[in-house]
Amino acid sequence: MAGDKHARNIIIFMVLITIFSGIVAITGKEEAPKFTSVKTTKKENKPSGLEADVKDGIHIPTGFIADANFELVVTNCTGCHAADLVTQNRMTRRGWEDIIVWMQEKQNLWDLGPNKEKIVEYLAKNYAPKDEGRRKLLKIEPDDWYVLEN
Amino acid sequence: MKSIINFWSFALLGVFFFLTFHVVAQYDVNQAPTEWKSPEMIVHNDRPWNIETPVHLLDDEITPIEKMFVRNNGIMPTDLDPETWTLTIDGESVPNPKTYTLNELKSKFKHYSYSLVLECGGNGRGEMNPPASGNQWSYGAVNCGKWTGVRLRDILEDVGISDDAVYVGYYGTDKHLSGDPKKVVISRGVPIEKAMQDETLVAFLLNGEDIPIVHGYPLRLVVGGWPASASGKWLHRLVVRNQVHDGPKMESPSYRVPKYPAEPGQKVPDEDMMIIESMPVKSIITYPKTGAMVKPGQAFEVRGHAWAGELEVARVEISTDYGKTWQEAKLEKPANRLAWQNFSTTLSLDQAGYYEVWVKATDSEGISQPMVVPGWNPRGYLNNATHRIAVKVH
Repeated sequence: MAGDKHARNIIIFMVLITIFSGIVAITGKEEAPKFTSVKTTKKENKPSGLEADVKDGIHIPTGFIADANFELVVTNCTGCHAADLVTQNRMTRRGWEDIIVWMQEKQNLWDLGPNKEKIVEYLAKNYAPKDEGRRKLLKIEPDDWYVLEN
Repeated sequence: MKSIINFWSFALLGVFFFLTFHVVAQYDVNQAPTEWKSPEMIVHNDRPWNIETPVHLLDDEITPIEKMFVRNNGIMPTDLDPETWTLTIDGESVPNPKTYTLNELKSKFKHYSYSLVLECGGNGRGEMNPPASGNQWSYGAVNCGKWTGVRLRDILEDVGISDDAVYVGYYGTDKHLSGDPKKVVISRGVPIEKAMQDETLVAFLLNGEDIPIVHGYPLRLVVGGWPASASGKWLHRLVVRNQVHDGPKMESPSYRVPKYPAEPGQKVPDEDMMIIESMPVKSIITYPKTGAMVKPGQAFEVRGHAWAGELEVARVEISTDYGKTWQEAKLEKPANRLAWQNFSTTLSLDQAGYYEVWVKATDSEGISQPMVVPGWNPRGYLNNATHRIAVKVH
């Protein structure tokens, strides 16, 4: 009998939780920050004090290499897209220039004025291509090898 | 007795929680797709969302939604009311433009379901040398989902299009990254012949569920075998053009490759670039996951999928000696045209050491995958070099 009562209580509790989480999910829409800007509010909308977030030569919130003029890159490049779109790429000076011109022509990137040269300089130096040949070696971290059982 | 009830109550509670959260998350405009996608997914970019599937998660014949890659160009729309959603068909080759509600589309036209391969045109870009700009996809910007919807052809026949129709372009409701409300993010499309194929759908279900927001809720144009960018998400307008569609990202260099074999790193003028149509033949090993260790002589299965754009795959071969010798795998027929095909074989390696298992597919016209990265192009599209996994025997 005690078990039955217990079970009933748990079922009531479950139903309440389900309703509650449903309500949270629906009403939460208004208050919750838009996920598209979560990273921005948390990490990238800090016009001042960028240096404070540098650790071991990396600007932690964006992942940019904290070399000369990286602040310009944070300010001008992460307004529209995530820093990852830059840091995962490797290009020559001309490659970086071309992509900036393409963004200005097609994607509403503003006139960078004299900063353009500094930004290209920073990108070409810190995100230059490495010659990886026709195929890269397969990389398996030591801990990622596993025993395949049949 | 009490402990059993307790156990099952909590198990059920867990399932309740998961289902409630999971289902809500896929259709909540404020939820990041990473909240409900497989935790092993690789996020290349979160603004806009670009998420890749590790190849070993693509083992299923029909890719589960939580294992599907995401390639967004802009910010996802937030105003997605199925009750008020409409699809408008207009353009130069539509004498009498027409607008359908979602319910009209669903009730007026016959429903069809097809398994369709959607692969990002830039899948494999990460191996380009010199590197090409964009999201550095490895091998997992591909999937084969089961799409349900109505045939685009049936809609176009109902609307009535003129003989001069050349191209069909789509418009979605996503927002440009720059925040400019007037700027269209992406508006691509396909030639009228592709639009009229049986398998070209205006879809509202994916794997039997409403399409999740990140994949185009509530309506998506689905064009199998072509770059997935031809399959417009959040579809609310189709234009039937009397010329090649010229929406954003139809123009060079987006989704275009040189008309001739280019030298790696070469500057290719816009007018020398052509639109990518059918995707090339390709295959992936989905089992075992790379990094497997086996014993000498231990038999193990190697399996995966192969696809060939508009064509069918005729043969799949496996090599464990860097392409010196190949053994043919068992290859299944596709579930329907433009679906991927399962392959499998059993391997057994006697000598201890490091091996790479390579897979190579050949299409119905005798074209095979290259073993090195093919055809360098400025934006790094169409890398269909053989997929490889590492295996150690010891």
